[in-house]
Amino acid sequence: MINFVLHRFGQTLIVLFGVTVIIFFVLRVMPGDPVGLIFGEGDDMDLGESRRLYEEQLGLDQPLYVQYAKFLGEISRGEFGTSFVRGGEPVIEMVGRALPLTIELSVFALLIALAISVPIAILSALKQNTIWDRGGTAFALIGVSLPSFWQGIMLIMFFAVWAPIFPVSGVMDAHLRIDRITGAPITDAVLTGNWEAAWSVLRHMVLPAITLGTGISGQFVRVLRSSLLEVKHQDFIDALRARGISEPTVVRHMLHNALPTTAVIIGLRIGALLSGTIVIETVFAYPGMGFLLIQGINARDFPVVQGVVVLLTAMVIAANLLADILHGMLDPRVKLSGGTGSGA
Amino acid sequence: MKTIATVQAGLVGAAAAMSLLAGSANAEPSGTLTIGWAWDPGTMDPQMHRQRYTQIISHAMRDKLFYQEPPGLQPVPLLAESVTQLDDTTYEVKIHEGVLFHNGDELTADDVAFTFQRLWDPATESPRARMGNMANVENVEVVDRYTLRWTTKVPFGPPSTAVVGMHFTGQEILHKATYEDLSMDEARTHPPIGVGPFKFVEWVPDQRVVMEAFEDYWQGTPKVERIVWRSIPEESTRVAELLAGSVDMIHPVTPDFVDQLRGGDIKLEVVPGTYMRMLMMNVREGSPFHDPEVRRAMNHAIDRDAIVEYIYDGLGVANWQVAGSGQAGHIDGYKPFSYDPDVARPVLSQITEPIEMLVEPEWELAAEVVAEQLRTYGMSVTATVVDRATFNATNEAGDFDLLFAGGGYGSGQFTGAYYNNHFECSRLENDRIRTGFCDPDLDAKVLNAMQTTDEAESAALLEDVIRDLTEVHMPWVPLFSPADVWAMQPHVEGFTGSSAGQYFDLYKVSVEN
Repeated sequence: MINFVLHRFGQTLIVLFGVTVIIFFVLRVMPGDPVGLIFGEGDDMDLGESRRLYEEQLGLDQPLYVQYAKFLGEISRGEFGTSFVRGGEPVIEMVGRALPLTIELSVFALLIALAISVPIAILSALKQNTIWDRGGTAFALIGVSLPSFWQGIMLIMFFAVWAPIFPVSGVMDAHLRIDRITGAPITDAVLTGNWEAAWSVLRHMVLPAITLGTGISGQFVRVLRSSLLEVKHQDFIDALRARGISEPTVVRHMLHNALPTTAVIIGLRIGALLSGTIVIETVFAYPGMGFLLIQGINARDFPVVQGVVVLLTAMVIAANLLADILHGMLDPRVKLSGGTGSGA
Repeated sequence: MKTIATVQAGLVGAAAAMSLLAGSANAEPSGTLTIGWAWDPGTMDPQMHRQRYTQIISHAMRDKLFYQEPPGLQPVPLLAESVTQLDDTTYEVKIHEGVLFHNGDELTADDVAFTFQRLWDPATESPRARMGNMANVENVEVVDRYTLRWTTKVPFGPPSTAVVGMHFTGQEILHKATYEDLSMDEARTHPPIGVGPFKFVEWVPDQRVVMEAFEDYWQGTPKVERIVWRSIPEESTRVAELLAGSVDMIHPVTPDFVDQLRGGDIKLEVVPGTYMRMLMMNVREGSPFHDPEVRRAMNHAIDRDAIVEYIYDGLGVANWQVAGSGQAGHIDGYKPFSYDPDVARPVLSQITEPIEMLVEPEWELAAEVVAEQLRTYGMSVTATVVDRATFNATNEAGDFDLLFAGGGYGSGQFTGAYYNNHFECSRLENDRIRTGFCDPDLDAKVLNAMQTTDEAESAALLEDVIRDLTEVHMPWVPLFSPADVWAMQPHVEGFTGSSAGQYFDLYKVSVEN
């Protein structure tokens, strides 16, 4: 196990290095420069000179390899430079604000996805080839296919404008405050006993989390259903039923055996979950990592985009690693060893 | 010796006195105005940004020497009582007495001088340091507690134009005692202290900025007790917030949503915008638009009125001259061309090579209409959509046939930065090619217009320049200026939109909620 983790950690460093190269140079190869966007049409008599001076201040006049070396140096110190457009705010501070919001939203969305997908998958598997099964499959297909942007807007129109049950957007009501401990609003509100704020944050999170959750629940339904079907036809299930074990207990055993595959899929879908936040956080004005990334890309705020992409990559790799480890723990047939990854 | 602002300042002062009297008799500020808009200020330091939206937030808390009184663009005194030109390069500024900062300190000339000196200080590394014509400002010195003297390296013209060059309309005044002790990093998040109508309460980045009424505001107590600025970048979400009643006002609003908003109880505030759309033509040798007769035909070829009416739902004005509506130099009623396909067709039908017209995504529909109109003359025009950064880079490089472009004139000026950016030959030396147009004689005329102290002579020179550019050189086909639109709940009263896209005079707004 330790060898496996160390080996994967080494792989992670190589992948992260590759990502730094790609994101750094892709941003520079993209047409248009950040200073041009910052200054725009400009209200300076000699705009060219103003831009040149500002490029110097930002270090954009340096050769690319110098800029890249500086970027790597910053990463090695756990920094990501300062924003070009936010008055020199350190990127690490911006990420520190955004990341807890995204994690909390993602966890909530994951719970919603599981709450939706597990019952549907069980129903589909137990009642295979019935209308229930076909309904579950149709749900999975719709969940995978719906554009999240459109779904988000529709949820807003139905449940915030026409039937004002939930707030349209934002993190919580503007008159409320939460003392910062972790930066994750619900967690902090609960830790400080601020129940009004916790309730407000929860209400604000429902629509984005449903939008994000239904997107991945379709995938979960498909995987869990096929795993359950595989288990359902195994001899030990027949043996359980022959011994007169109650159906809920049988289902519990089926779930226990189908879980390892599902856990891996959940781990692998963390990437999709995080990429889903890019659109959804923008639609719901929810200032997490996806929101930050879109703002950074639009402004060609190189340090912000670089920092967010590297961190999101690290998170996805970490989630995949955790999924592998979890798989090994849940399924005794899986042996984790260095150099070969996971295998039966 | 020329003086600006004595009369206007008198009016402002009288209005202030009346407001103060009225304020003392009226009810306390009440209600919360929640504004849903697209941005987050990014910083609380008014000298470390280039964004209009950051300036709007700052201006709500810190007044400037001059401002552009809504809905127009022309500079009007605010903290300045008067500006007097002592000689070609010296200007004396008197500020109002008795103006208080949020912490109770009185505004003095020291605060004003410190503000500009901090801006110019290379250690500040302000991206605003050279705005207007500040690169040519020599110095500012304090004469007495309420008087300052500016000296410039070159003549800045009469006070009415000099105040823009010296950036009086663009720079909010800082509280010296606070800012002289702050590091740049501290200043980024330090609670702003100004002499504006609203006091800082909190800033939650990317979520909201909250302010409350400053009851000792020198122009009178604001009517609204609190303002909450909520950052909502996605327009459809902003509109939903307004329809759900969770915000009182939204901005910006594009024509795509105007019909939806008109259907309800929502009020719309529409003012002429300051962002003119034009078709830039590559006038350099080798381009089909090098021939002035082709450019003249292009100016007859496009039906601007139809674009404004049918694409922008009437929310804009058609442009027929290079100076936009409300911009200095704009000649009322001047329309040297008309939409006349019969004049355009014989010339444009001779252009057989494929023409690419670059456009940013948000203007695609209008650009497609223009391309289609040009195709009716037999031209082979394709509208190609590119992102803003690509568009800007292409614009700078002059690497295009046609560019469906825009020019902002929020300062209201035509000479100075606007002319310099679009037409002045010196821009070519900085690789800002654009249309490739250059005429040294016109540059000389503009310089004269900027530097003469005779306002009538300056206006006559500027009119010559506008006419020459519009109907002799014709590097552009001026198209239209979309309006700036705010949408608000019926209970919001007293808001006047600004053509400069600003939220001046928020202290006059009231809400009943």
